[in-house]
Amino acid sequence: MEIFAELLNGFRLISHFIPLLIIAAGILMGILVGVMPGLSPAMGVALLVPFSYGMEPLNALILLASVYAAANYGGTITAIAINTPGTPSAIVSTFDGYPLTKQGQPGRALGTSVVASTVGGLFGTIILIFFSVPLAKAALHFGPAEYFALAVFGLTIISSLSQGNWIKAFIATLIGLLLNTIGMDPFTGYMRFTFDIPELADGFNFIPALIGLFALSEIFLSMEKSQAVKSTLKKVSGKMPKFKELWGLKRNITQSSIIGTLIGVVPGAGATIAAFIAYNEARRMSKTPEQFGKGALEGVSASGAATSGSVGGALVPLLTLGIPGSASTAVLIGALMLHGLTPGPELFKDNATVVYGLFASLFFGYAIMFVVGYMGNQLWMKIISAPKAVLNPIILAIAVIGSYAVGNSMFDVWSCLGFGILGWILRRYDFPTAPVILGLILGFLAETNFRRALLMGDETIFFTRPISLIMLVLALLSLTYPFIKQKFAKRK
Amino acid sequence: MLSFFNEKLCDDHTMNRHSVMLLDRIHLRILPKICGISGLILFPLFFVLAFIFSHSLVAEEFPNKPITIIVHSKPGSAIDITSRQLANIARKYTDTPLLVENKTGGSGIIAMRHVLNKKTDGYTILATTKSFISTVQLSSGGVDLDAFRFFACMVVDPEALITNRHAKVQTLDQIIADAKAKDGKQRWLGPLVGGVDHLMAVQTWDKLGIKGEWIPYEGGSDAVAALMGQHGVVYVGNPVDTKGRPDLMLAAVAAPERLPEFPDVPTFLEKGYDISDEVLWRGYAVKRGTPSKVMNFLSDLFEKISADPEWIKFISATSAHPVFFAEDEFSKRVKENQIQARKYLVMANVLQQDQVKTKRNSFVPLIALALFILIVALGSVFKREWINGETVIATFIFCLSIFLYDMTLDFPSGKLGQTAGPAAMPRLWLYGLILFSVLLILTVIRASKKEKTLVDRSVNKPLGVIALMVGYLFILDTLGYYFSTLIFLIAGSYFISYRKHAVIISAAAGFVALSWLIFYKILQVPLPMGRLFE
Repeated sequence: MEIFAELLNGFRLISHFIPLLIIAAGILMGILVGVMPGLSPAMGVALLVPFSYGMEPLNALILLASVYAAANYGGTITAIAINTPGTPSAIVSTFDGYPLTKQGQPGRALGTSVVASTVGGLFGTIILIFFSVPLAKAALHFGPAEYFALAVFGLTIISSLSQGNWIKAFIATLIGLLLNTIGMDPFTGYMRFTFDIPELADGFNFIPALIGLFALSEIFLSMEKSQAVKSTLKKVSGKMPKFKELWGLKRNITQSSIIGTLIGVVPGAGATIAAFIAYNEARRMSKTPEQFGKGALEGVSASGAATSGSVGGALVPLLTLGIPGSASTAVLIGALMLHGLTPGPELFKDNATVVYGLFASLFFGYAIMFVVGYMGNQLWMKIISAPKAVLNPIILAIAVIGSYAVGNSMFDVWSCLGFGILGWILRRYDFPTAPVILGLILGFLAETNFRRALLMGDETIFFTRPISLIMLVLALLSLTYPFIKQKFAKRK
Repeated sequence: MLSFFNEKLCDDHTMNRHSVMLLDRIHLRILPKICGISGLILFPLFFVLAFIFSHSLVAEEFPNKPITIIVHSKPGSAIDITSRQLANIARKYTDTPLLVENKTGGSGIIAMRHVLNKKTDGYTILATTKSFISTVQLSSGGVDLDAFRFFACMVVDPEALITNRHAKVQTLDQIIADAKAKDGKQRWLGPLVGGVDHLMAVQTWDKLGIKGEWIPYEGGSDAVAALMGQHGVVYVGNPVDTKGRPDLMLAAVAAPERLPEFPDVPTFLEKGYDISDEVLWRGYAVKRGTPSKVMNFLSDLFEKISADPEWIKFISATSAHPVFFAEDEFSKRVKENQIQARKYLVMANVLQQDQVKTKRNSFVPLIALALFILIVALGSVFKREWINGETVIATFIFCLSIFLYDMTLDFPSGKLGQTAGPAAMPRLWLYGLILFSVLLILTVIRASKKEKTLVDRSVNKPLGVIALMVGYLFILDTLGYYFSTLIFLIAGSYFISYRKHAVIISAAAGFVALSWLIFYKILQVPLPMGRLFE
């Protein structure tokens, strides 16, 4: 087997002190970037590009890839610990991770997340190595109709996020979708709902919205209760999940890793959509779906595995076609070019050692990430058990610095506060905020591809293309399934 | 002496840095004792004085502090990487560090404004690309390119038509024949409407006498993926887009003669079409009014960089051309591009010929507001039990939706998509919001007897924290991140009636120090330094 020989060669290249040190540094840096809200994986990679100038091409590549891989995991840490998603995709980890923390079991959530992220990442890497060519070919068939169908399918996740009140969930989703239309219309250049504010020409930035809706609203809400000021969390247990517990998640993690990787392959879909869909599927598969949103380990593991899986997935089109599968890989392309490497099929021919060295480095990287993550959990636990009165202002300050870092703009910081107030008002009256995010993520995908598809053909395009048709049918089933299930349950 | 708080410091100022850190440490020790209100006033005052003192000692020689290049896009974009590489190479020719700072938003308007709000001292440079020309013409931001002096154009990248090697249509002649057969239905892929590539397409259609359908994508690489999947026929981009993608080929380039790296690719000129020199340029500009001494320094520096072998190698690796156009030639190009862009923006129907925006006089906003007040007031008077948080929110959403719906009536129908214009999706979401808010009101009213009461909850604390944050954000602009954050953290903890001074102050100071370490030292993300210290 040629691949194995090449891979072995890659391992040989990596198993030296310097490359291993670079991987370890990249992983640590990645976790740091992930933990800081506002520094997305893509920004982390971009910020490290100047550091990689002086390095050998392979070393530069493994540094950046390690940062990318670890940042996706790092985001889940703050999501679980303080309800502040450090990266956009980590938002799904807040759904169940933060409730677990509130119940005094952050150790279980954090432990599960690191295990799931590691396994998901390894899964993604294996798929990347063995199936990248056919997967990339398939991803190219994704036209506007398919992207639109994917967005519609994604929107059916509302039913998982509704927390029992579907009217409010729909309103929240529609608010997100509507917020998404603010800014310059990509098809005509017309400024929609911008009220002549130039900062709004690109719409609201996603990360400040995320931080505001989750982190700030949580703090505002928790302050309403006067007695909870001085107390720390009751009995924070540092207990890690038991092996048996984790073993019970094996199907969930496998499934989520595969979903994460596959969606990661599709350019423009990305880790966040992957995490949402994996979460939804995990809930559907679960024996106890009612626990989701209240602290189900399955929710935490689904999000972690899918997010990490998407890393390997996003590298598939990058290495086989030279097309970035995510924002981070777009930066990777630029960095590779600085080193005279052009990503794409020719890279496998001309620089196979670099490619297989990268693959090998991912295995090492995830191993290091697991160790660092597992040990680091004790530190996070310490931070969580700090008094609320000290922790809460710090979280607010992190929110400020995080939203500022997105584009060095005070406008983002103000919009973060605005979203915080919006989230507080909504949550005060039991409107879930997760669907707002879902609307923000999928609105653009849905609208641009809908209109693009119509530019290319007529309305039938959505039903004549097989992948699109299948996904639309799945979406319909997914939306009606809960009701059908209820009917059947009654009959019995 | 305290320039450390002011701008990022060059390395040979380490002395200053140490003394400042020492000062900082001393303060942290004193702080607990004077931590009353007087401390909060004295503390910044001291720094202001120290700052003024320090600046009077600085000599008036340009450059005596780092020069910042403002980039309008996110880290990792082409212009960002180019600028960072430029800053890197500049070290060979000057001791003054060049720093790159990203100011994103408004497709460049925010970055332009940022530079225009700075002094004309040459310490803030704007990285510009040709796309700014469309941006300015399309935006309502009130920015004029004449407010800048374009002093160095460093990179030109010829525009090109790119096709798929596996498709039937590959060459320029085939494109023309196919376009005529499809009669306006030929799909051209590329980035967003109104951008450089779109205008190139419009110009090509004009000069070639064909018609096409522009299918816009979020970015160049999404459109490239679409071309690879054969969702369209032609992609408008630059030669670099075919690098490492053997499935793609160049059909024609808009250069005066064939490119040395691509000797087989014909130019438009030799095919008999008058598109001789369409390039995407990247260059640098400063605010008009910058002293000529400073301009000479910068122009000289950039000219040296443009001849640097490492720079030439780097730019050539991206299939673009390293050049150096000084101010005269660069400005002339910008002027020409502006006239041309306007012509094709009108031709593409992105810009209306008559620029008069007809503002409808609409009373709908007032009516919507009145409706909201009326419903809530009537409810409060007659049906007290119906008025609660949920119904008020639902009513508000209902009225807001009507107001926004009224706004969508102003949206253009959009020649590009006869079936779905810019108003289609917003309207769909607004219909949904109207429907569901009414539904919510009905369900709440039906269940109003079992209304939940929020016990043991008070909005005072959250409102207080919000007010505190607003104050924080206001002083952030003037006092800078480190200072205002310290004050905010301490004030915040006190506000939540926590009284362990030692814990509060050490946590606040620790956090500020940590964020300085992570953002400033390790990741080199610039944080606001405050207007006072500039």
